[in-house]
Amino acid sequence: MRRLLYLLCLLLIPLAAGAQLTVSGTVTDHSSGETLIGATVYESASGRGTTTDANGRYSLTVKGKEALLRVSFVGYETVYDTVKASQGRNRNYALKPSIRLQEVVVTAQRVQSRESSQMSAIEIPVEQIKAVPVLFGEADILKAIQLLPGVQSGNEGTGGMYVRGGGPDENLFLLDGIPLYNVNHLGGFFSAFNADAVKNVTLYKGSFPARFGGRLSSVLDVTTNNGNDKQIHGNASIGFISAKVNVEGPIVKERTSFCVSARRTYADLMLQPLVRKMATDIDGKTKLTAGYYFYDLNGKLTHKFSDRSRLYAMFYMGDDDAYTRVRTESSLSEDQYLDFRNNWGNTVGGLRWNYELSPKLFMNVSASYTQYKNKMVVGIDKVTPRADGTEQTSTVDGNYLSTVKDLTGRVDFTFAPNPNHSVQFGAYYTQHWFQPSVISGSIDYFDSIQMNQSWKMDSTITEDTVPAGEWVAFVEDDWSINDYIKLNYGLHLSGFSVGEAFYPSVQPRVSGRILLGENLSLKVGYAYMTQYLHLLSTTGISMPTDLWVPATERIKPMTAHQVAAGAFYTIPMVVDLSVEGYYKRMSNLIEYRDGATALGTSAGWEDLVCMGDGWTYGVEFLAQRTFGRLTGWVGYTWSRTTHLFNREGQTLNGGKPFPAKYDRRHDISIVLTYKFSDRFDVSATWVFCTGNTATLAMQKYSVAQENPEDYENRQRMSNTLSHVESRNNFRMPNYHRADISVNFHRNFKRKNCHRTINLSVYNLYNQRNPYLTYTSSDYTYRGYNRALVQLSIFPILPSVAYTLYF
Amino acid sequence: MNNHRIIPIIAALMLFASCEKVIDFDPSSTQSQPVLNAIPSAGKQLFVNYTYSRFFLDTNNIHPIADVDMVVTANGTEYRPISVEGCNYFFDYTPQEDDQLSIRIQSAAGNVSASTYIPRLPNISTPYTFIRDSVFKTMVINFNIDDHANYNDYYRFTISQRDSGARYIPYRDIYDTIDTVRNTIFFCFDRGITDPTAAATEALGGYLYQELLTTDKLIDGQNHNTTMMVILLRDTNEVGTFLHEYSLNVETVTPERYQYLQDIANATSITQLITEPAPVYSNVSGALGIFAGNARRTFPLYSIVNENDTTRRHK
Repeated sequence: MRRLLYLLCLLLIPLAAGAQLTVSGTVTDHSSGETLIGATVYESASGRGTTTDANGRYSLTVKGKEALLRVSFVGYETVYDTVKASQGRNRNYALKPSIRLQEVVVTAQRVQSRESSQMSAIEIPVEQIKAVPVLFGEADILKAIQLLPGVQSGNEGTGGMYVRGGGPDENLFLLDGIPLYNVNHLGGFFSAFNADAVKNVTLYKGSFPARFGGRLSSVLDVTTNNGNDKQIHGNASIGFISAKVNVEGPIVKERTSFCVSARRTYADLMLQPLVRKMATDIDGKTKLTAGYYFYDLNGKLTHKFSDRSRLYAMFYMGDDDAYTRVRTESSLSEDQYLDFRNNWGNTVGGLRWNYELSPKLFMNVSASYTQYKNKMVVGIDKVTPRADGTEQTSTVDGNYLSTVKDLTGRVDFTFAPNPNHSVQFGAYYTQHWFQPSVISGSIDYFDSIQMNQSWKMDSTITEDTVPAGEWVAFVEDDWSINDYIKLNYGLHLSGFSVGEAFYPSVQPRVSGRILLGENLSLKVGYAYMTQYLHLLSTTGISMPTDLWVPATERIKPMTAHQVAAGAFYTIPMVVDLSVEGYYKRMSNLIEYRDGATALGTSAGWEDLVCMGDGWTYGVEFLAQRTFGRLTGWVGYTWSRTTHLFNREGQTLNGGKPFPAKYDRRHDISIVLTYKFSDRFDVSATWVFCTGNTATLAMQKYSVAQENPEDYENRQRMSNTLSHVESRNNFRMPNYHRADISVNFHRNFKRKNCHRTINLSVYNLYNQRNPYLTYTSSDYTYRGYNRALVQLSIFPILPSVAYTLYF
Repeated sequence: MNNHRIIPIIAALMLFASCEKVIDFDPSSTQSQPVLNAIPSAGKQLFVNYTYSRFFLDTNNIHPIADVDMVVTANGTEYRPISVEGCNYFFDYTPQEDDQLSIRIQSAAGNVSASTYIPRLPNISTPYTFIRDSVFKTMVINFNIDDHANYNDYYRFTISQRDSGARYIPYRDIYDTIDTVRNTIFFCFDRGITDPTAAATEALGGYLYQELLTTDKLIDGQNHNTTMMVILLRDTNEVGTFLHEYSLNVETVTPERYQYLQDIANATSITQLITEPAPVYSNVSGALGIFAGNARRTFPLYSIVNENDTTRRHK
């Protein structure tokens, strides 16, 4: 620890170097006033530059009393500006969209930069995300991210994102800097991020900057729109299963703006007639109401006190709701009512104040709240009337609730002392409240003939709310050592207190870049990560019923060391190429013991799990074209992920290594968009990946019997055992699928109004991809047959969506 | 059908349409293994079941192992099978409590060996049983266990139910005469005996079992009183005079069989549908299965006769 601090001090000494002219300000879109993240501010004489941060702000210090600045952003006209020391320190730039470039460019920015010192980071423009064809034509950020090398999705129909061999709980999803615990809608087919509300998406797969922490495998940093501060704009869209609307505009022109987005699926309403008919067809006396929907509501309010001071307020609400109501009138004149409802989702809110303390020093102060809840309600009412007018009633109610809540206070600073350094430092504290489960139930029985036959029982099983505190302090510096070598290094210090336990963690982070010529760079990186939260998942796939639980005195935090190295090569005006290799070693992973499951309750969960280790390594290739009529990327990943649970009393698979659930050897994705004209473009994707692993008992044998004749009934399930040779010993068939979408754009005569019609086809060649496998048995005239059967859920699915922009 | 219903129905069919495909699976990717199953029980003639495991898609029942040389050693005396029926090998030997046993098998399937002992059975009082007729008709069973001091007892409690009589099969519209024995589900409210690690489903403030597996950790050396309860559900499809005979079975098992039974309970529970398939414990070297001693005592409980109105079924 002490050595690390010395090292940090030594490295920070160059910050004291003097600077002569410091320019700072904000880069925005000229038409909307929206801040631009990642815009480049470059000083020609020194050849040094910087990029705007998440608030669209920059600070550049150069030698001399005059600087010729070049301010650029893909898709916008470049601005040149000469700044003199006498002109003042604040320079804001409003870039105009480039009409000329739009003809030949412009749906994508760079994804991997050969110039940045940061490695394993990918930034995808929202326009590119919206162009990727997806199920039912609903643009989705996570689905686009999952097409990148090193990132995998779960099974079709299940949620989860798996980055470099990590589990679905090892990803930190940030919405304007606030964590979201569950990002899946509809079993993972849609994410909680409404693309209409999003401005910028950056994924970190490794070599994490020191400002991020708390998860092992990835950080997905999503920034939402601030809102147009000049005039009201928006769009409304209606698609196959959902409708959405996005409105943004000024409250006080060029000072206060808002952005509100809402989305709701309506398949439940459309399918209601079918559901009722199916229920009626059963016996003519059953009335069934069943459905599923989700909704999202995003809002953001931005107020500019001055060029130096802005306040942001944001909120997000998203819920999934599955419900069933059955009313049955039986032949014995009994009326029975069954209600089931499962509701899960996030509620998030935050306030952030961004202030420029000096041209070299920016400050962010924020407070945020995030909550995830999963609630299930089951109710059964039964009324049995008798001929004499009396009746017998019984009511059974059951409730299940699981929540996790966080309250966070944070302050961080960005300091650019000279052209060679950009320092970020800060601290935050998060108070967690975990309530893994509250189960309550009641039974009420009443017979009107015999009043003494009334019986009532209430029961509540509540796990105590577990409070936990997590504090973090971090510092990082992006240091240009010379024209060729750049270093991003830092330290992430954290501590987690729960019950009597306290877990401190010192996490060094470093990544570096060496330019080897005009178009080639090499990068290396190392990151140590600690994660204090675990997700108890029974099936290894992400489900809303999974339970978030903290590290405890018995269950240690997860940790990971990751090293990565890569080469980045640009063929000018053709394509960007990159190859990156990584090795990650993970400790204190948890899995349920053999055969154990909490099945929705967390009671005694520590007894049901065991801790182990894992390692993963792989190589990722990416060829990306970000300009011209044809844009997109081709990605390939070769990887291997292995788990080992061999600690005393905590063995799985006999203490031998086994492949992880999402160990996939090959993963290929091709994403292409071709813009024929301003009115017509086509996008297509093709994905291929090695099948997932599964545990398959390939041998069967009899249960030991106490009597010889009992062996005769071998066909009875209870008399047969399955022999599992090893965990995840079976690999499902390979997965591949092609999607295509066509966009027709049209400008209406009315100014600033146009529409897009999107036609898309999911699973273009109707590939039967495995969803799950099971053993099927049937008796035919040829005898008794058993077979391993694969179930596929989504055949070819065309869809259409209409969007009006105003 | 109204036109306005066509669109949602087509949409639903597209959304929920599923398709199945048989996966070609090469049986040679997995090899059959020998399986030795034997539960030497105090007072019962010893037999051993020895067979091959079978491919999970194989529908043939019996996979015998040929040319088997099998020797059981009990308290130093060697026994060889006196007869073979199918895959069952019978010995002229009846185990007794505290006997030490081992088995050695040589065949083309390889060398197989295992050892065990016959556990002691404690004194158990004759159960006091009565019927309680409240909201549900229940049978309450109360008895004492005189646990051995300083001896690791592993208990298995089951309540078996023999059903005999005629039953109406609605979906086939026929009457069927049955005579079956099965373990019925029962409640045990006794937290003083139940090892917290024992598998059970909590319900209505008690614990629900089809078999109660527990150690004597909480009652070692004690004369412990415990109560169990069976809900007597009336089956309206039973026709005429229908007999239900209940018996309480108290067994002591070896630690190896205790682990084996726990694994089986996990493997066959409903939660197995959403958990990873897990291996079942074996104490046999060179084979799957179990070779574990056992002692059992059975207490007959109530015999309950249901008299149903048979005419209702002939409407």
